[in-house]
Amino acid sequence: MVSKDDTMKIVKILSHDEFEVEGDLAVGDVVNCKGIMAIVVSIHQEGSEYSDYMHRMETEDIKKFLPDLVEGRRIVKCLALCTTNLDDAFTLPEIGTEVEKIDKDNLRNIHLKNGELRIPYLVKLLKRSNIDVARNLVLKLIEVIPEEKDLLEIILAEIEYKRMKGLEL
Amino acid sequence: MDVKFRGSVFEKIGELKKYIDNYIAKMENFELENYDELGIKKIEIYDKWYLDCLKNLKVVGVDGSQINPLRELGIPIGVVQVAKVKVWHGEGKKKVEYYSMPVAIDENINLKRFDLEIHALIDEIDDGGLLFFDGSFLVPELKENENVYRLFRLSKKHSTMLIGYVDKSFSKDLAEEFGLSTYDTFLLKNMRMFEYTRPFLKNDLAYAYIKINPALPARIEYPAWMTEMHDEVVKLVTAECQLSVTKGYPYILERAHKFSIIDKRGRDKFMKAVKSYSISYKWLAKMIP
Repeated sequence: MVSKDDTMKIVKILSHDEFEVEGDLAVGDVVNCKGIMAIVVSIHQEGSEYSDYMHRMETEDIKKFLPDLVEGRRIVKCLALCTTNLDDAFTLPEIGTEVEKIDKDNLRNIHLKNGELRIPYLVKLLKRSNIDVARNLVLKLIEVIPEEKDLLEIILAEIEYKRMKGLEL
Repeated sequence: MDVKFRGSVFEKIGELKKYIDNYIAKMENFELENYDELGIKKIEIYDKWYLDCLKNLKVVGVDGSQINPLRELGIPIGVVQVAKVKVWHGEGKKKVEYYSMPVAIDENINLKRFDLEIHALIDEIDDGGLLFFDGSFLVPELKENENVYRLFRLSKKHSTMLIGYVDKSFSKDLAEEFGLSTYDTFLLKNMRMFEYTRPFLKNDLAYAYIKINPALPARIEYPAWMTEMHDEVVKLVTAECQLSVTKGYPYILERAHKFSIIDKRGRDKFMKAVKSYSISYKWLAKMIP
């Protein structure tokens, strides 16, 4: 759970299944947004004034000596995968909706339906995101669902193979 | 300048250019007989010297912007906005405060803005640090400005350093002191980077010139009580300039300017809030092609 001060919110809807969030998230992080499960596929910085000063000052010095400069907003782009019940997601919550990072326990619980591993969004993820993002997620699932390691490693090997061939699944 | 041409600017552009070139050449032609009288010194610099110099110093910058009354649109009121930016160098602390005031069409909006900027500095003068004002304290329209005198008195009382920074000065104070009729900065065109003059006094005000960027030297002004710390003051001003994007203008004024700007949203709101009393048909006539 994130504290109130660190609340992350949707700041832009890009399409029916893509949206942007302001917050401290990393590529591959899985988030819950009002029952929609999404994965962070890219990160960018918006509105930073640092770039004009960075060629001759370290970031730490900028923060200490030029504190009025706007550091900018860290914006992450998310791809909606499905609902947290693993059903298809047909719409997105509106701008301003709070977003929470899904922790390891919840990531495990969501992917085990009746004790069975399910990844219904895998093909969509591979088609729509960078293959490294998919690989990152499968590695996370191996960590949180170790009893399904064999199956997940087959998926991982397939991803690796397709990556080496430069093809998508 | 007391020259008149019979004909339009377009027709007389050649003669105008020749006159201006001659004028500039004449102003640049003056040389000081005794350069030593300027007391030129040079700031010693080393890698990141300016950070050492400014560490733990509170620096304040004040600048303003304005929306002029729009006679043509029947809006008889303008507005001034002043931003005061405070930065504690090395401590990562900052604060931005704003002041604003309406100005009637029959008032001098530039002087009103000047007064509001001085007022913002007076509010800050009892809290130490280094205060920057963008421009000269010697406003030609204001021979006697009680607020400036008050600011200077309080600066001395609270030992708060106060600087007026003039990026492009066309003052003749120094030249006249040497009996020459030219601009001070033209007289000092041969100064080298990081060189500065000794302070010169003009009543309660001291002024000096610093070569901070490749253009002509900048002028600084401060209350006379600060002359005993002239070398330190010059070093601090130059260090503050090193922080800016161009390295040739004080960072804190660069930021105060940015914060003071009344953006489009502010302008639009102001225009909507102040009702037009009647539009100018002369202006409308000019608008029709």
